Amino acid sequence: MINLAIKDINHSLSKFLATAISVGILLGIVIIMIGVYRGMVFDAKVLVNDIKADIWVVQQNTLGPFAQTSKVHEDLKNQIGYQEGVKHAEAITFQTFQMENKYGDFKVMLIGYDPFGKIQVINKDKLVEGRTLRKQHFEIVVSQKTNYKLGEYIKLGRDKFKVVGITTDTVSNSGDFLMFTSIQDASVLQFTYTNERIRSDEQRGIKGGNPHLVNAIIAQIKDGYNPKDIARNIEHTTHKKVFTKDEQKMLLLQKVIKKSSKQIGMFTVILIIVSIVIIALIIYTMTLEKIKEISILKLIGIPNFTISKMIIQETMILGILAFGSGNIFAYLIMGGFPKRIVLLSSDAFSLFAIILISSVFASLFGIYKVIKTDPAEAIGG
Amino acid sequence: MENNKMKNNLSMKIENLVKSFGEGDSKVSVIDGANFTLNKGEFVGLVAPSGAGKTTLLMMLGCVLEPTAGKITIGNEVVYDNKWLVKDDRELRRKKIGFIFQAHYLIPFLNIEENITLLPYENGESKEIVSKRVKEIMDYLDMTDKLKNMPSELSGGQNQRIAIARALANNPDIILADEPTAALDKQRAVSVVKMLKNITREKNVTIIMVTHDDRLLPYCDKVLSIKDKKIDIKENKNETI
Repeated sequence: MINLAIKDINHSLSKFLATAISVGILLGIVIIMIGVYRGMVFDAKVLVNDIKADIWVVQQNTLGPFAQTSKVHEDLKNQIGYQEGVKHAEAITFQTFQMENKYGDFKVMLIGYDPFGKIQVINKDKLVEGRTLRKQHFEIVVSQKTNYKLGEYIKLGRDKFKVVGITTDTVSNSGDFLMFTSIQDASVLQFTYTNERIRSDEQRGIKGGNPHLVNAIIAQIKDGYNPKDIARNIEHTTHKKVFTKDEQKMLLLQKVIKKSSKQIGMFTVILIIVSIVIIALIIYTMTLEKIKEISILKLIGIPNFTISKMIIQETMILGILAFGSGNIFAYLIMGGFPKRIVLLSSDAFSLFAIILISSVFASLFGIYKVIKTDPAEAIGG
Repeated sequence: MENNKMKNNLSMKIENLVKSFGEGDSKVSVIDGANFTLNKGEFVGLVAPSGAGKTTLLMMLGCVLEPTAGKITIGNEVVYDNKWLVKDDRELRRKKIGFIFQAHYLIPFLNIEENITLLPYENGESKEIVSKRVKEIMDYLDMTDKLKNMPSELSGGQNQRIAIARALANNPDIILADEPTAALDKQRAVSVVKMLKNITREKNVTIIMVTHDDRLLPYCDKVLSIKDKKIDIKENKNETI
């Protein structure tokens, strides 16, 4: 048997490939959009995963420290540390600000932690150069994407910090680059104002910021204890809000990135629909271009099934080629995006199935035209 | 015995065939009570002024257009008797009728061999049988070396011969040729008509050829002409070939 679809495609191969690549670019954008969403979800959890804490103690009636501002006294760590089942408890601060260096401007999240504490805050697997903090003051670990080099000095506030370590793949839940200093330095940066501000505050009767405030207390739980039980117990005894690691991750997904992910989801769905409509229009136009041949085929006795099979096969081949070129396009451009793009093969296969099934439906327009074509059109010139 | 012989030699029988378009006051009658019989191996010309209903008649004979009334018999099978009696008109065309058009109308994305073998393969014929038949036809048309060419690589005359090969490829009982020489000069037109006549003799197939060119009519065994919605049939006594 002769495969009409393959023959037709071969006859106008360059045109067909150009069409498939054009649709592929559109699908590539769909793939990137899905990757952006996955990247957001990944980023939302990466920091909580990196910090090896089992529970997060934050200000009462807040969803801190990421979904809402939270301030607790640093010495709360002692009270938490004495709770039954708690192995270690340490203070941690988070501060976001805009920075600029010779490589450009960017947003960073500065994390203050106890360099001599027992809870790992910097994921050592992600440390690509140097070391973690070993001094109480003026050392900093930075994300690779900030472009700072090991040994370089960074001026933050009134002080200069020496870069002692460089991490990769470390971002905040918003995708901002991370920097790590000691909690003392971070507190000074967060609560030390300019002289003008101090004078202005004093005239208003406002005292300076309290450097003994932190954003959260993180704690590790002893083996054999359930983090949920410990969290509920601490809530009961300290009048603070306590989240387990899983609850904190859920909070980030449900509260922090929910709207953004919905927005991206909407865009993705619209782009998929647009892609399907474009495929349908292309197939319909390709069918119209062959209408004379189709009427001849019908006239000489070729059944609708054979002609429709040609249309469906061409649509599916177009879909497959477009999907392939879309993937290549997505992988080529993903590195240029400022935030993380996560391309999962499961997403790719789902999209492939959607495109393939939709392509078959899209070919119905062409098939309808085939069925409606009068074979008599071939007679009489 | 004589009756059976006649029946076996029958290619097409048309009885009281009527075709009109529209209804009531806007009703236009095109063919009104056509009756004729064609035998196997006959080369038949169909002539009429423009708009007299040649194409309409051809489409009805090819089971493409439904008549208003009448009876059509192809071979020994009654295919229409005031209604279609065949389940699948396209299967009937695929197996019993060949078409040749004004232009060659070959499928541009298929090579010559694929254009010719498309119908036999669709009919489920084996590769061996199809290959043998195609070789035979192409040898006959002296086009064997063009099998792998695309239609765009051949001249108009060569393509028209390929169109004839395509019409023959499914071993039809009847070939309907709609002005097959319209796009050719006189010399080539005569050459094609001679070829068609030879085919009717050698392949025992009936060819009905629509033509405007009176110079080609002497080659026909019978000439059907449409006058005032009626079909007039004349036997040609002069054996031109």
